[in-house]
Amino acid sequence: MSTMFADTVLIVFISVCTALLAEGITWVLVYRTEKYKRLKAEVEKQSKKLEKKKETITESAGRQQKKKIERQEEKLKNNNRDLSMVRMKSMFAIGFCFTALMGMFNSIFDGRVVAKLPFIPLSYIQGLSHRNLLGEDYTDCSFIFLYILCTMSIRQISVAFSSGGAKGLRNPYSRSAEEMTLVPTSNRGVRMGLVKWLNNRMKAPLPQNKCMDQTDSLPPSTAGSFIKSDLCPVLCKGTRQTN
Amino acid sequence: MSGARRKEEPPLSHPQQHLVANGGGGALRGSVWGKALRSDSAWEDKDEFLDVIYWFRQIIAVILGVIWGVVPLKGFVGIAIFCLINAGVLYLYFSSFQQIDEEEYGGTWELTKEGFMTSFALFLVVWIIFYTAIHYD
Repeated sequence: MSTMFADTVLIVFISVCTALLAEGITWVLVYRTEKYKRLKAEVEKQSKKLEKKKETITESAGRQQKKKIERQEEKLKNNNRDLSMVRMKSMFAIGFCFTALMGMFNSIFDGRVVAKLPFIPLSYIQGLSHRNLLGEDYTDCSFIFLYILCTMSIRQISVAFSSGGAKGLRNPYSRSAEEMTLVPTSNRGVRMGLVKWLNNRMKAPLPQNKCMDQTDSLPPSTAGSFIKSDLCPVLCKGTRQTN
Repeated sequence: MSGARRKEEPPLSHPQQHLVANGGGGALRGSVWGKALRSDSAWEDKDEFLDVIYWFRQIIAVILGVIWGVVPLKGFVGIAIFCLINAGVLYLYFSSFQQIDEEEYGGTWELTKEGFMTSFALFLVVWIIFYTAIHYD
């Protein structure tokens, strides 16, 4: 086996190991805690309940029913937010570990061609794919480009496996919890996850064009109340998300 | 066999029967893939169907990555053909084979982009690995 192919295989192996490491850290810091298990069960139960209620709601449904749904949605959003906060811990730990690891691997593979690309990347990607490599042959692949591609695919798939199928990536009510910790060194960050979650929420209808000022039986949650007031003008509009 | 079992146990609904007979989660996954390979199946759980789409995309990405790396198919033509095949095959699968109502899933676009980026990254990785191994080893 040539050195180049050995490097290719090694990078894929490193990517698999770092994906497992990330999941492991998340498991230790988050998944096995009672708080996380409780919140996750709560979020799943509430989102199923809410979806069922939304399916059965008719045009002529009373104001009270619609208010009930609104309250449930708010409760769900708060729980979701709390769930995301719990996962923040693991994100910081993973970010720290990976910064150190990336520094180490970058120095090991510095200037080495680890694979040959069967295409010439676009000019703005060449900065990544040909990073620290000598020569003008842009089919030479650097460590960082291959590592990022591996991470994008392997980490997503490992999360899909661990969250019981790709569901966890998709449920509009729990998506932020998954998205915020997915692939921390790759294309999605906390901000992207939050933006996507907001976009999904804007597609789902609110029964009335009212802001969430009802505070009746909502559990106290400083994060929730902050989000409630901040997102109010954003969340009080939108069309139905049908999936 | 099933007749004898019916005498001893109360009759179960089909999904439960499948679970009990074959032992749990593995059987449930088996029934999902069974449904996926049968034409015009009923998908009560939307997430289940989206999972099938997601994993089919990954399988297609691996297969095409291997083929493209072995042939080899080079350049953006390879990427373009991958995108067409990936989107086209899945479109035919959910519109003709499964005959689902796209609107229930948020439209054709939502189904088309389900798992696309992951499958694209996976395709590139597999393509690069096989191309490097076979043509530059």
